[in-house]
Amino acid sequence: MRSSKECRIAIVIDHCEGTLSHIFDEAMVRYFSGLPCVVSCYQDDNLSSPRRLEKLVAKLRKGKADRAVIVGGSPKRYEASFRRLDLGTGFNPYMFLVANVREQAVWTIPDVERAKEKTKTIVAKRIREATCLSPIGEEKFELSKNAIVLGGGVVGMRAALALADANIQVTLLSRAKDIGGKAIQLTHFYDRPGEVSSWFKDQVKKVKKHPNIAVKTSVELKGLEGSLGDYRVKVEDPSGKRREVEGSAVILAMGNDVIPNTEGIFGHQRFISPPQMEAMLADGGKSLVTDKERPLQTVTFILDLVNETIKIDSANAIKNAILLRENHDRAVYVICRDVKVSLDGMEKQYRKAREMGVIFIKYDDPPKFSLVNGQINVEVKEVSIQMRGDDYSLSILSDLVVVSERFVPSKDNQMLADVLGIPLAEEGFLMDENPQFARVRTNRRGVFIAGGCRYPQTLDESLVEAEAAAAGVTELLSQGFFGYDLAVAEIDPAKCAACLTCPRVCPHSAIVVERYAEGNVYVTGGYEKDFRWKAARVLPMQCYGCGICVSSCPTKAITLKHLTDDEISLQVGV
Amino acid sequence: MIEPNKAVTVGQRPGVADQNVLILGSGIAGITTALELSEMGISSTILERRDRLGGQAAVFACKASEKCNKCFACVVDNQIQEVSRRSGIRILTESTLGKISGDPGRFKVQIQSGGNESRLEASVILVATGVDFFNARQKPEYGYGLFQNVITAQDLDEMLHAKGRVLRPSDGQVPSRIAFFQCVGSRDETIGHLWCSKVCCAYALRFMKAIRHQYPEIETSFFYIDIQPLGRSFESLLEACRQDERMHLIRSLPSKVYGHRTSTDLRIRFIDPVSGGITEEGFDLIVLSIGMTPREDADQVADLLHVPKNEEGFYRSPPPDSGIFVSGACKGPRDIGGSIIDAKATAREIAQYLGGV
Repeated sequence: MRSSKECRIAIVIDHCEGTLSHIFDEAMVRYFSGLPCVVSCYQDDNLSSPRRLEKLVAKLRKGKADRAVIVGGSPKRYEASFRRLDLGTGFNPYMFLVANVREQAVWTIPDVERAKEKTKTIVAKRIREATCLSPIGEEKFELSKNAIVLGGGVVGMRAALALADANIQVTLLSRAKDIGGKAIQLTHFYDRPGEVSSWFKDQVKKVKKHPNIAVKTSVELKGLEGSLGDYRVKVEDPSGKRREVEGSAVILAMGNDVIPNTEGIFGHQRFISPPQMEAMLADGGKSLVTDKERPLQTVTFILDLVNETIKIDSANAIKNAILLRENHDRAVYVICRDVKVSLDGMEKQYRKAREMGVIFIKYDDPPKFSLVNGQINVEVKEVSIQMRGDDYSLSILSDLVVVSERFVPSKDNQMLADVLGIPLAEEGFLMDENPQFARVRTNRRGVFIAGGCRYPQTLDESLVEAEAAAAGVTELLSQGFFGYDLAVAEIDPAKCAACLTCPRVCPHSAIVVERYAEGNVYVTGGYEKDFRWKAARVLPMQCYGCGICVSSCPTKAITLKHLTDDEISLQVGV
Repeated sequence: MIEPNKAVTVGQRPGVADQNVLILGSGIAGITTALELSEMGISSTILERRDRLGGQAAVFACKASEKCNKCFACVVDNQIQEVSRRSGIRILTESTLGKISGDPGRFKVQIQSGGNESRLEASVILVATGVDFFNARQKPEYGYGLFQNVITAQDLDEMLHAKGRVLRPSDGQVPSRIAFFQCVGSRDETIGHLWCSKVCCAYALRFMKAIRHQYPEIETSFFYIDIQPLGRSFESLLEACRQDERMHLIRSLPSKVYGHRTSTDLRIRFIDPVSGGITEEGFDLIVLSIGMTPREDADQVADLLHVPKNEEGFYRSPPPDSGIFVSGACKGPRDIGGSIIDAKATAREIAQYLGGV
């Protein structure tokens, strides 16, 4: 703590629109003015009003103070304006403190006199704390306008196109031999006329022709490291040759995996998957026949055995049911727990399907399947038939039964989660930094997620996500630099024992520990004369200043610059 | 620390700073777009008809039970605070749109604020006017407006937001049996609304979780046609609801509500899916999950700005060179999260249109 004589504190009293005026009477103001180091005292009725704030700033600028304590409501009320805006007070943004007397005293203590006493204590403590504030600087570094998109499916392609159009150099990496992904299996859109294939070919062509996109196919993802502005993706081509691709930011769009349902009776050839159904419809229905060239008359879709809360299968089933009725005159049953109509225009499609004679059956108990003379007998209890009090099942002899494939997280998710420190959601999909505030952004600065690796959604929903992720990257790179203030953790290398506790607890992978011996061999005893342990180091542009490492460090080697131990001790009055 | 790259174009974006995007509506879509644009150095003016920001979602209450149920209500508060502080975003409340002239990229707009009229120039106009909630009086069989204890989910939300408690309007007591009716104004051809509002199932289930957490003694019933999933966390939410013994998910829509103007108790008639017969059950609070409809003045705005509409009356995106963009629920029902994602995507399109990035 520096000598308190050097400090010149301005007290700013915010009456919070008059709600605190009964506390801040003359005696109270006199008390504040008399506290050590206080050189000036200002009052205002409402500091959250920008105009009032401007006036106050003008006063502060003229005054003698070099730091300020705001007495009023919660820090949230002032932090953004005092810290993030350059108000031109002439103070460093970290030379402000907030004494939250509204929430800590006035609202919690009904008795006015006691609330006043508490107010005095809080302010006195904050004044003491203010004496050990020190300015915190800012830094910035340049960002190259390039990005990496992992995954060559429609989501990756859309993200790459969006970035490329914004003049960002994109490297699009795809595991498959060609870009396109799973959407190539689709033949029709559910919600509009026109075939997917022409739209799709157009997208592929655009990606391949775009001067700002470099496509690399047949590459296996082997690792991803680095930080904002300097991400490096390691990939391996089929010949086993490894190389690194660099980019300032990364969009993960590897999609999800699917597991076909082939256990037990589902392995029978009359059970097919939705993509197989799409393929059968793609050739104009020529393959809608048995191996003896007899038409497959009855087609039954079974939904909600898996993926109950994913809408994709339901949308595709309704779409294909209509096609089967309309173009091929087949008998179609859709058996599901709930009809998912929460997509644009789907209620109309559902209505159209029923008008065309598609029969929808809803179940509570999953249907049973058996083989009858080469056909599949689907036995199911319809909920509305149960409603009549009769407890009997419907039996549907089907030539073809379409069962959904289970959507599962991509096998890359776990690896990426490990190397990037991105948490996985409960089902194993990649997690946004904060599902509410920061969708498509991960807890790793510069890494974004979109599409099936986040959660399997319909084409439209995934494409909007791709654009939002591209918007995130564009926003980050548009300024050409990344500026951040140094209100972050800092490690004193002299105290660090390189115990690796902090990199383990850091939720943002912002701490690195350099290997401390050649080839990472553990060195015991008899160190060389000049041998020095290398210490852990915080990457300030990755750090969010959360303080978890500070509290975990066994040697107290880490300080949070904007909330030092000294400040905390003074806050709690030690 | 990083090699400077020649492609970096710091400050090489002349004109972007002079661009102004006029945003119609300060709901979550409008606010988010304004914030995203400001991140990219593009200034905007938000026009809001009401005296407060935030649109429909601003009155939503947090629906956490023992854990966060990801209802996004807190996002709205946060975004409102953020947008009022950000420089480069001008906010005009209690203002409406007047005449528009000029060409795409250089619109001249008349604004009416109170009795005053002003003009401003806009490079781009973003329509983020949102939706209206269905007027439950149009379904007289449910007795909204007739029986005090029949309320809409939004009424309940406002009550929870303002008072932090769930109370019967008739006598201010905590109810003992609450029924949620789904699809009021959605999926209903009798009123010409052949669309699903997408969000109400998740909304009502989260609401029930929150209520059951705060009042473990309350019995809740959920009357539905089909349960509509919504996003990633829905699976665990639905499972938790199915596990709860005092939360009954009933696949049946009640036909009518019976009651007396002065009485607390209401009876509803529906087909019980278990017994199969027509059943009556008593409740002391009925919550109608009202759906989303195109706004009353949707046609006026569409005519003024030449925004195309779909069959249901929601907006479609105009051609990209028109200088007019559409974002959020006015394109069709969507949740807060969906509107945020949409707004981000739209902000990028606008920036691209302006040639700024």
